[in-house]
Amino acid sequence: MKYLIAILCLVFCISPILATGEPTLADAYALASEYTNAVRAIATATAELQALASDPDATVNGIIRAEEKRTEAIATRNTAEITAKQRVFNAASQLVTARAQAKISALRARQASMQLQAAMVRNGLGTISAIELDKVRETSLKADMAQQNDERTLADAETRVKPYGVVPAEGLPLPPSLDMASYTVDNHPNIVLGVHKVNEALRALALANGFDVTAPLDRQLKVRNLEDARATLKDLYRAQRDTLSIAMTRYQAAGDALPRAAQAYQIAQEVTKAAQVRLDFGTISQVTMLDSEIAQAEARLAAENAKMEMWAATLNLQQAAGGAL
Amino acid sequence: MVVAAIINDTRFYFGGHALRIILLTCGLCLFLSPVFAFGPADALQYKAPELRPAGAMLSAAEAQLRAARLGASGTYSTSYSDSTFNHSLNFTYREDQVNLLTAHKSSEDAQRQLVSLQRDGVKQALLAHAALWDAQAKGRAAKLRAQIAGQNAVEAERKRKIGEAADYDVDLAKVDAEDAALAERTAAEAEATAQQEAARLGLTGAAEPVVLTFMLNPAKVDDADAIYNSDWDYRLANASAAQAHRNNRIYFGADASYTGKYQLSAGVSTKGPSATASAGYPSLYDPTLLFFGSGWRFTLSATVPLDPGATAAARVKSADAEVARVKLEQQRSQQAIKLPDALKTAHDAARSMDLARQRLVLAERRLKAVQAREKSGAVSPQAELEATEALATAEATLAERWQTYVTDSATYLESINAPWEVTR
Repeated sequence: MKYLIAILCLVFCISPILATGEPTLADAYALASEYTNAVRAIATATAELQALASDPDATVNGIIRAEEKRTEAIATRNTAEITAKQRVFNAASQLVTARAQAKISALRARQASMQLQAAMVRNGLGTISAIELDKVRETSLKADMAQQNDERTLADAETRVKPYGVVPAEGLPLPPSLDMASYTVDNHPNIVLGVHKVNEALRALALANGFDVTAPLDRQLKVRNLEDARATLKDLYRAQRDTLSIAMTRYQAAGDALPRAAQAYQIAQEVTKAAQVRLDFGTISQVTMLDSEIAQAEARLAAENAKMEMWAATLNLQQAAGGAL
Repeated sequence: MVVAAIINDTRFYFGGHALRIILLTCGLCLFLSPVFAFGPADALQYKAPELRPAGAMLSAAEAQLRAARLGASGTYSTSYSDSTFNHSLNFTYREDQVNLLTAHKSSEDAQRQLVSLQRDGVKQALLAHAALWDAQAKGRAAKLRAQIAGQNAVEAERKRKIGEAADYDVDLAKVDAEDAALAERTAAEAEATAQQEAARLGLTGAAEPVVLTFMLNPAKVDDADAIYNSDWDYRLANASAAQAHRNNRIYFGADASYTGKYQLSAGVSTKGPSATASAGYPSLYDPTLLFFGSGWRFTLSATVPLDPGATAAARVKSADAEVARVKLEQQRSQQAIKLPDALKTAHDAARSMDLARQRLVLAERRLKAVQAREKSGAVSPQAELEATEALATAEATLAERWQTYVTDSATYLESINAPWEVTR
């Protein structure tokens, strides 16, 4: 018994610490105001539905409307979650890109510095002119400036991503694979709203069928409203299906590009290893070795970009389908 | 065309003479049937049954006044005894101011009673018209409301079936419909009662939706009915006191009489003043019993009343007269307030009635507009029903205001005892 009490006390003491800890990228979306607002809207809609359900004088259509409102709130919450995730992903993606870019520019700056030192020696030996030396110096200066710019960009990206959590140095993991066949547009809030508008127009038309108490023009207006709602829903379906189709294509393309980029990165790694062997044997210079390292860093950037695109395509597909399944 | 064809056929079958009889019969039936409506103008022609005895009372009061003005009376008597007819003739004249004033008041009372009865009868007829009109309009409105409530109940049931209305709404609509149906029955009963009331006054058929306005001019305070009574009380008390005081003063008399085969006597007195004369044949007096014997005899007399009770009674009469004077003054001050107030109330009622008439015109305009919209499909058939109901309600309001106007006008006319007079 005392162990149980001790465990409970431990949990009680640790839980606030856990609750106030640094957010992780996976659950950072829950901090977005649009997501929290959507969650509150669901609570409000649920409370209204419960109030109506417990009211013996509530109309059937009143309850149906409350249910529809709750469904709309849930659909809005789902898309708000994806939108918030996209925002977090964009920040993380920028950081990953900035890191890779900073590494590339650092290598280039180092290479340019070495080339400048070599040019100065050559100029001292008289093998190159002062003009050529100036050109090399200018290139070195540009590389330094590019490195500084990329470091600032990296700092900015780190600042942006800080509220959402920590991005690991090795980059983002691969997104979970999706079953594209299970994705439809039926849960997208636009479609849900469109369907509900058609339902409401149908109910309004049924209500306007009291021939003694409804003006004929009013009834005709209700018929037109229903036709408008149906046409709008049809357009919405078409647009959302197009969007979903484009998202699927993008997802497939991203999926196809991902192994190629990984393969290119692998090749670049092997080239760098070979260059290192050659450097060790003295068959190539340090500058040439740096070329290989730069190529490897660029291949890594491409691989990271392919992974980012995979993430973007995944989130885009979920957004087009009205939320994660 | 159809009517002409029927007439032609009828002429063919019955001939010209028979056709005239049929048309005359139809006309008489239509004339006598209650489909004819009556209006305020018909009500103004109403003659109350009490007018006939009141007229007889007036002529009797006028005869009484003439007799009081004449102040003279006489008797003739004849008797038969001892195989002889005796004849006697007496004549008396007395100037009695109190009696004259009383007769004068009775005559004026009878005249005013005649005006009052006529006014009250017309008032009853006008109110019967207003009540029937009100009941008719309210009946129409109640019928339309019942129709609307019935439609609403059906609509509520339909809405429940499609999920737009709760059981409560349906039950409420049903109760409303039953309530409206009950109100319709009540209104129909009220209309029948009002119709019977009008028929009791000889006014048959429907009440025309017509109003009149009456001459309601500002009257002087002395024209008030209450002033009339108080004034007469004061005048009678004054005359009574004067007469009591005169009777307590010394009065003189002169008499002349002749006794013989026949008998004559005549006398005058300052009491009253009065005069008497009498003649009898043959003389009923036994000459042997007469102290002075037969012939002429003249007498002069002076009388001094020595009755303390009569003196006190005269003072009481004077006090009564003073009380009556004070009451008259009080009545004047009261009527100076009441008369303008009653007139203002009647004028306000007229203004209110005019506003109700304007509302009725607006309701008619509204109904026409709704009917036009209904034809173009812009409003529902129920909207037309509602506008028609609003028109009937506006008409009922006008009828109510007309009733109030008649009552307030009658109150003012009663206070000055004036007859109904329609504004031209």
